Amino acid sequence: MVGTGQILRGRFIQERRLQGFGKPLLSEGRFTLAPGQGLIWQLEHPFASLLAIGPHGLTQRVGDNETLRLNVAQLPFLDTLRQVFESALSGSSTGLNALFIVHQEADVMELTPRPSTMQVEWRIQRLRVRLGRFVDEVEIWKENGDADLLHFREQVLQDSPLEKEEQALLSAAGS
Amino acid sequence: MEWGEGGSRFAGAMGRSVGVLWLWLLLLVGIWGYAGWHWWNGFPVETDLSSLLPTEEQDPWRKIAKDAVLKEISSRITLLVGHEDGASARAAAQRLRQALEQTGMIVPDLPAPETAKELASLYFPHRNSLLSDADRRALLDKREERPLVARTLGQLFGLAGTVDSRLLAQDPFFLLPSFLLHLPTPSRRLTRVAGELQTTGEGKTWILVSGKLTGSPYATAFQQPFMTAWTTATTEAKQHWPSVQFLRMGAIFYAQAGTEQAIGDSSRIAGVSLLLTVLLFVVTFRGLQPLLFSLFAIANGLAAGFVVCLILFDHLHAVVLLLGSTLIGVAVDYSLFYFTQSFSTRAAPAARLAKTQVGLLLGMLTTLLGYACLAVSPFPGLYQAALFSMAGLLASFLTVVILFPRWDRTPLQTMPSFLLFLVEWLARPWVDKAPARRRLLVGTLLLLALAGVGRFAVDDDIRRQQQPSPLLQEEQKRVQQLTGWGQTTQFFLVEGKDDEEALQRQESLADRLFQMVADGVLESWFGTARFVPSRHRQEENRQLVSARLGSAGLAALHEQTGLTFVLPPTPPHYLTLDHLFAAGTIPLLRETRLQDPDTGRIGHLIFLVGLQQVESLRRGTEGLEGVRFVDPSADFSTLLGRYRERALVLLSLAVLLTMPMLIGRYGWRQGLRAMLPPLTSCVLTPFLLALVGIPFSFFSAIALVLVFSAGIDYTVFCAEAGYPDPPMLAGVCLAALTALFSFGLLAWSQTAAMQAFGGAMFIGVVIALLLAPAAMGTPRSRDA
Repeated sequence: MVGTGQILRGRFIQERRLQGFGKPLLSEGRFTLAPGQGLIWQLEHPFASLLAIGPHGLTQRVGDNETLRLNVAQLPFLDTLRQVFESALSGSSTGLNALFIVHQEADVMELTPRPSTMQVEWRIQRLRVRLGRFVDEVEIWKENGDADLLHFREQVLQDSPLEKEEQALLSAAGS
Repeated sequence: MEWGEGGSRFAGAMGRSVGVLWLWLLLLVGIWGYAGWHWWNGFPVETDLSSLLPTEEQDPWRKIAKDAVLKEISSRITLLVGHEDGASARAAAQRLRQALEQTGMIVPDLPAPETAKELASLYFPHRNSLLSDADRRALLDKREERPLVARTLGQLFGLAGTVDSRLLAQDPFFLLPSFLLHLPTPSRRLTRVAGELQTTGEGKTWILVSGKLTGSPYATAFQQPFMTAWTTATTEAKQHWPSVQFLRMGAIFYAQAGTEQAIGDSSRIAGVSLLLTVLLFVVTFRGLQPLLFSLFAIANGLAAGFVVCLILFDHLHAVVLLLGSTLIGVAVDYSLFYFTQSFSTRAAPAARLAKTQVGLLLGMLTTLLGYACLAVSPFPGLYQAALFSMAGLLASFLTVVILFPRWDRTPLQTMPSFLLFLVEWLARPWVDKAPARRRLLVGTLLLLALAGVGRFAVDDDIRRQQQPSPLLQEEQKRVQQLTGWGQTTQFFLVEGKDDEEALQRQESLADRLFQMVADGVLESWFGTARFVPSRHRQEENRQLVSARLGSAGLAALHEQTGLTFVLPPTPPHYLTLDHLFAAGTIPLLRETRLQDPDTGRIGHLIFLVGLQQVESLRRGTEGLEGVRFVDPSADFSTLLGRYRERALVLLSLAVLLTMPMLIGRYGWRQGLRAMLPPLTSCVLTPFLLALVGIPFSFFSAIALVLVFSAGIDYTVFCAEAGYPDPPMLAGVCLAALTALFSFGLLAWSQTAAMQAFGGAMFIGVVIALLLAPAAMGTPRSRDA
């Protein structure tokens, strides 16, 4: 579990299977999670890209191009999205209970969305989270058959604050 | 002297002729019968504030657009229902919505939850014809596909669960999501939860309840039952959820508060005015007869005013109730001048009339002239009030000169001491042989006016003339903050021979507006071209997509992912406004399209959101063909300024028309002397108003016209006396007092415009009264 004031850093490998497209899309990179402050999702392979979700919104850059900038004042659901990712990656079921029906057996959490409380149509059918000391693996199944499989490794919990650049990145995200 | 003799003969004949007597009595029966019949059936009172607005608009398109915007904006209500608990807020909002909709007075105007899907389905076949401005600029200006390729890559390899394979296969560059994301929305702060649009703030969940009224928010017949339904529904909701809070935004709430204030103001002012006038009569004449006769003359005046308005307009405007109440203060003058003769040695009614008849006639004519000036003002409401007052004054005058001499049985009596004191105090500066008091009086007035010169300012801004309910303004501000709505009253009107031309012109305007959004001039705008590009633009977009993305774009994607993508097929037809209107998914969009019934030409309205720099916007959009920037408040303020100048021209005209009458009656020297007090009053009043912090406006200018009329009344009676005549001066004092009781009390109205009018009347009448005895001539001139 990651507490407030702590930072979780690690690496991820994402395997994405899309219906109608033959081979899966593989990507790899690093992430930084600071509960209450946001998430930095940094892709290294097959190309460099950076996604920052902060309290004010979301910004994505691919290479030199800013490809997405969404403000939480314009799209309030972004705040919920940030909380979902924060809760899921920090393995906190309490943060997810409001939005999902959580069923946990041993080190595996199964989540299905509560339709009435979802603020946007996310089309997620179910999530499966395998827990170790932190979250080791996440599977996301969508209604249309698309699926994402995420493996997390080299996870380190730090009590030190975010780097200045990271703080700036998160506070500027979406604004 | 000929004119005076003619006037004297006219008034005398009115008083003596039996035929005139019967004709007048017959007319009075007709007036009262007609008024009584309408009273029995209920007076049709109109409270539509828009009918107060001037209709002088040279450009027919601007008028069509302003009318449409006024109608559209005024017919909508926006409510927020807030509660600490989201479920309670939703339940309370549903109950309120149900209660209001059940009355049939509002119909829902929010899109249903499924409309977003319907809109996406409508757009989907046209996705390569629809480009967001950012995408279009990337492809057109930078002539490169990389940003769009990067966006697809970002989605393909982006954070878990955010890409949809079906969309990717059919729109690999996410052109449609980008177009949809950049569509103007009234508020992105509102999110749909469990079927309700909601936002959070101030520690509460707020649910939006919105609707379109099925009747005019200004018609009392609609306003009253709506407000009753609103009060009942909100009271019931508060019983179930004690901490529930309601915030309102809508013209009907302002109209109701305005009506309440106008009726409150008018009944208070009329009540106080009537009470003070009655008290003055009782204290002055110490008998019932003068009071009853005067009330009879006033009542005849009011009845005649009502009848004339009902015949000419079929209804009475609420503003007539307010301004009509001031008629009491003028109509009573005729009775006062007549009855103050009971303080003289003239016992016979005919002698009393003979002494006052020229003054009465001159006074009546000059006052009619003043009201005639009001009648040519730009306000239909004022026009009605002026006709009401002119008819009323004429009826009161005729009652006094025809009936009073026949029915008057009041004995001679002594003047009450307070009135004697007033008369002496008023006359003293002008009867003293030494000029010290005169100089002191005139010098003081001049010094005060001089002190006001530095503070003199002209203000025609209509926004400062109105004082909408502070509570409603506060609620509106909170609604705007919570929802993020910042629609302004200014808008653009884009005209063309058909929709295609108007859409193309909108796109030229949009090119400039996008830059202004980036520069912080405004936040956004709402117009049809943002939802449906012109055919020309759609064709251009298709070519851009094909040329930039069809080869290089698809190749870059394949290179990075190893996957094969294809561009969407080109649809066989173009998307048109009619397609979107038929789907009916976007509220307010249909109402932004106007058509000139005479020429068939098309006008598109562009509403502005979060406008920060009006002048930059105005300058930055100049020179675009068929594009007009419309600022109703500024236009209205300019119009008020123009009519302020016209009121001053009318005042000059009134002076020029009055002058021959006075010179004809009193000769050159004395006639000009009689003109001086009201003229001085009109010149000094604006500066004295400035001294008390009231800027000069159209409303003070029209008051000056009436100040001049009243001032002429006072000087005419003083000039008629020719020497200190206590009964005549008592009449002048009493007339001024009743004018202050009626017009002057408007200075305490809560409406700034009425305050400016009342303030000018108050100051002007006081100065006119103080200077009026100058018309008697100075002791030296009289000795000569």
